[in-house]
Amino acid sequence: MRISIGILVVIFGIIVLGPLFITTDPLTTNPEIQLQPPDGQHPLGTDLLGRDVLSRVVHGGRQSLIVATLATLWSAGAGLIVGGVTGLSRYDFDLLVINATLAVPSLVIALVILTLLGRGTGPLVIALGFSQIAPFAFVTRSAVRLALAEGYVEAAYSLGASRFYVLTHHIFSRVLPTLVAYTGVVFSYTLLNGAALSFLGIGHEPGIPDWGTMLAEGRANFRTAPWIGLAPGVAITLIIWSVNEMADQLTSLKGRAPGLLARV
Amino acid sequence: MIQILLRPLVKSVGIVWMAATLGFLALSVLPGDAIASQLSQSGADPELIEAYRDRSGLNAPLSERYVRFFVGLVRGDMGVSLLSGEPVSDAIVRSRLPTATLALSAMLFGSAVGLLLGMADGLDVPLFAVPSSVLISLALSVPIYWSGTLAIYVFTAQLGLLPSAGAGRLSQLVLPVLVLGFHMAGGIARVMRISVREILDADYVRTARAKGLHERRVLLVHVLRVALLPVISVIALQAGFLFSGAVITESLFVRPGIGRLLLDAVIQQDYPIVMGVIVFSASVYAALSLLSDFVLRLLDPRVAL
Repeated sequence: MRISIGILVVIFGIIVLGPLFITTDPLTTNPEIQLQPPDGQHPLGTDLLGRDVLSRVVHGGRQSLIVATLATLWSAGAGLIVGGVTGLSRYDFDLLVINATLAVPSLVIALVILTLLGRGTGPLVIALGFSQIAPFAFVTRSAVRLALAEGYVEAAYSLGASRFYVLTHHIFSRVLPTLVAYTGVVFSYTLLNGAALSFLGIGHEPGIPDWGTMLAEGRANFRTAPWIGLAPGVAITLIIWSVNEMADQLTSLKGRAPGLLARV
Repeated sequence: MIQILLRPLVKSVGIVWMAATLGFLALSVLPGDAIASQLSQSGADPELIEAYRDRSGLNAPLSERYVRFFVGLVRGDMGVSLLSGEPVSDAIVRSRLPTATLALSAMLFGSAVGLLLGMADGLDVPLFAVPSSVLISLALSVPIYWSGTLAIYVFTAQLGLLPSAGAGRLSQLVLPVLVLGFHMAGGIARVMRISVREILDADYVRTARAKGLHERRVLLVHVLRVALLPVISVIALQAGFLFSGAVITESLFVRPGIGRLLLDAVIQQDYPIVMGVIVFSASVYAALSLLSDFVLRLLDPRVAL
């Protein structure tokens, strides 16, 4: 837990504070220093257009993390409302809609929404967030149903507690750890899927650097310049690992809904 | 008995129908499409575009289009590609084989590796437990598009052993399967590990040991056989999500297939193809969960038939 928090703090620190120290512009091209291996001037080398990889990793990370964070927030908010309402209701017909949405992989859902909205940061946030609403709603719904079945909830009702009191004092505190942990999981999926979309070339408008774009450039130049994709790849891996560890520690979510946690 | 077999079937059909309907609604609210952008690029005036849209039935009211779409779906006719005019079902059938080859091989490889890793870690096998747990963490956190690039760098650029692109020959299948399968193994191993640990604590395992059964027999018959059960449904779920993996893997290794088809259709706004792939992926998912449900019922006496 401590290690994962440490890793996250270091990575976020570099990305937030990095631009203060790294003055090289991530977009300036320089045809004289194409595909140079790491050296004193460019600690992580340069890419095909002679742009500084270090500066692009830091600025690109900002882009990737902002998109993932915004997408996670709106997806968790919407999922919380949908899952809360369907969890508290006594009907099950909503399961058909949730199941149907889960039947289509989240990356495919995000792809389809991007078809509708076009490229850019805004559409990317909407698409990535939307594709995670169903899983978040499903986890919330299951957690609420489990909480409702607890003996102490029944006891509270029989002691004359109001629905509102039970909701705020018993249900909410019971489902909170699960939801916090799952928010972390959603964050790792939006980060992964966001980078995947940029990797596939359909996320951002061309020009804006982000980690997925850089990984695609690394793939394209894998023979001559393998260093381009190295730092973004390591960064994404470390973030996902840390978030997974923290989510595991936060709850014993491990045993529950393994399918949801184990998907691509 | 009939009801037991029928109910999951009806549920799966319902899921596919719902996914198709949601996809249809989402794609119907779109402003532009391939026809409009193609015709206007070639300089056609708006009247001509409207005439074309009328002829292809794109201007009919939503309800009418839905009924037509649905009747077509039931008859296996999902319309034609807006760009090539090829029937959607033909395009999917054509792309199905390379994706199925990739997905099935990755599933087999991933299940085998995942079960071994999960077992080694869960049973705390000396010497193997720590490397296994590191490998599981890696498989769960390394994004597929990066592990793929690394694999290409090592096996193609440095060692010159395996090709990095194309499909058809066996050697071209090795890297994609390794990459996709390893990724899948993480999810399977994780569930296997938890499942093994839970069962090791069960009372009947203690009883088996107290009876003086040989440790190997306890592990094989009492622990692993039972630990495998929850993993079956996870393998089926993962298989459904192999689909997103296939989109990335096919792009990474320049392979033809369903993922490639979807990606091209998305870029060119070829909606009938996108719709076809949604229905296809939902059907695969529904069929697999149905299958795993059935296998589980056969294997686990606790799940009543």
